[in-house]
Amino acid sequence: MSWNPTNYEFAWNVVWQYREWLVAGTLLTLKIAAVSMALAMILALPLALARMSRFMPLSLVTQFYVAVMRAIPLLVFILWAYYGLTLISGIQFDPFGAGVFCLTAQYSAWLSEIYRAGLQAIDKGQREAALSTGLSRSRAFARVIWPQAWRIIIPPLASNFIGIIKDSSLVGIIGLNELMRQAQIADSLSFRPFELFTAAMVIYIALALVISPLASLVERRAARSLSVQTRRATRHQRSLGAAA
Amino acid sequence: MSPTVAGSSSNAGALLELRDVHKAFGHVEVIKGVTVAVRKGEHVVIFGPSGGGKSTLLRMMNLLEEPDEGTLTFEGKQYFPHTENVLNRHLALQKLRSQIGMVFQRFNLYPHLDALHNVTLALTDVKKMGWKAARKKAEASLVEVGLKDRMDHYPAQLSGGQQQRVAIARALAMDPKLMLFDEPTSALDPELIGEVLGVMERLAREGMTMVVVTHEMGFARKVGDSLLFVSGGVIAESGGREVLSDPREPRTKAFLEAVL
Repeated sequence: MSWNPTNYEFAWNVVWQYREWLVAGTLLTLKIAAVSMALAMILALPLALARMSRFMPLSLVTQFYVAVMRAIPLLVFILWAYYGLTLISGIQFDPFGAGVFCLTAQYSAWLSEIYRAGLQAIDKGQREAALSTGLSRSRAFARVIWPQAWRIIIPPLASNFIGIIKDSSLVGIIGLNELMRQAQIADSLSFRPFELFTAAMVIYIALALVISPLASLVERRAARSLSVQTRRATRHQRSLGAAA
Repeated sequence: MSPTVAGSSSNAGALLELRDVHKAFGHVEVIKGVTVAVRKGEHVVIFGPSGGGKSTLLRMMNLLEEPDEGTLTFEGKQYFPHTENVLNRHLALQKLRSQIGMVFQRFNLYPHLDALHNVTLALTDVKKMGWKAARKKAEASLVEVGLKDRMDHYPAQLSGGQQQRVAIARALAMDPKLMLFDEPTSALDPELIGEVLGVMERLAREGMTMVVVTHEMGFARKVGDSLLFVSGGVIAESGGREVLSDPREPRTKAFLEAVL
């Protein structure tokens, strides 16, 4: 078949033909993105607190970590972790593990900066008011500071989740059969790059379009139900206390 | 009897005492050796020019600001300099603060919680009260400041005067032995000042021990037992209400002439 863009015959049926591959790839993409995002969200909090610490060495180490993560191209990082780090550390990563490691390491750095911005946006009078009633510093954080910062943090979290989904396409390079790689393999068998990569693109777009409104929903719910949450937390705490 | 006996050692009966405290921010010394004693039931009013150290002095009383030098005792127990190790130090601080209510110039209500939950938070988390008891206690406090029908309102839905009254209820619900007010009416529109001062006056009549930093000289005259003119990081003049009517220090005289 000679290449002639003017009379290219579309064969969309290849998309249908490889549908099971694409679905499996989409699910793996979602899985690696979700696992990495969850870990990054957890790791970002201690990072943000360390960054804001008045203990200078701790703050500097964290700043260095964030700067390094910002500087490394993800593709290089993934290849380095999968082929290089394995050799010197003895840790045997499978492609999924290496992908989660790299995405988590990078996104925890971005997210820690987002957390920090959210936390610093809260007036310091909030902390003072909480402390002045006798709350411990950790309670003041958990009950007063964090619930307010969280509302500021949610929208950028959503765009970072979309980002992690897109970046996970790079993990295909080390053989993880996520959406991008599935499309690539299907192409190498069918020689239908336009149809297959269009399909992959449409799926990525669809994922992003689903996540954005979902995030605004979460944001609205977070705003509305904080009082209720606090009441529930109190009840829960009390039942824990009664059990002890 | 003067409640502030600078440099003397006869304040044994004081509820709270700051002795010879100093505080510098960077190179600026804002408190230059102040001794204050607050007795039970007493209403201390601190007034003076901006930047004179009034707020810093007040914030030392619950150690939101730690002195560089000097001591703080509350009910005969020394809280500063710390006597405990680092772990117990925080517990001691929490104990001190749970007994001292504080009301801030800018209210500092928790914007994510409605009025009721603003008040219950410390009850459940510090006093470890159950939800029903905390709720009952908080409702009683809010009724006391005249906000019976605003309990489910969020701070953003309340006027400045109402917000400050919620803040007073939040402090009051903890059954404090001492209330600190840091310019509680300075951020309010003029027509809302009265409702807050009214609540404070009633508290004073009911025997609450309080220390009030304020520019409201009418309130000072009406409620103050002990008046401290703080300027340049020291107590420039102190005494009873005669400080307002017949000041001895030229600085006090000049300040009063400017604000009245």
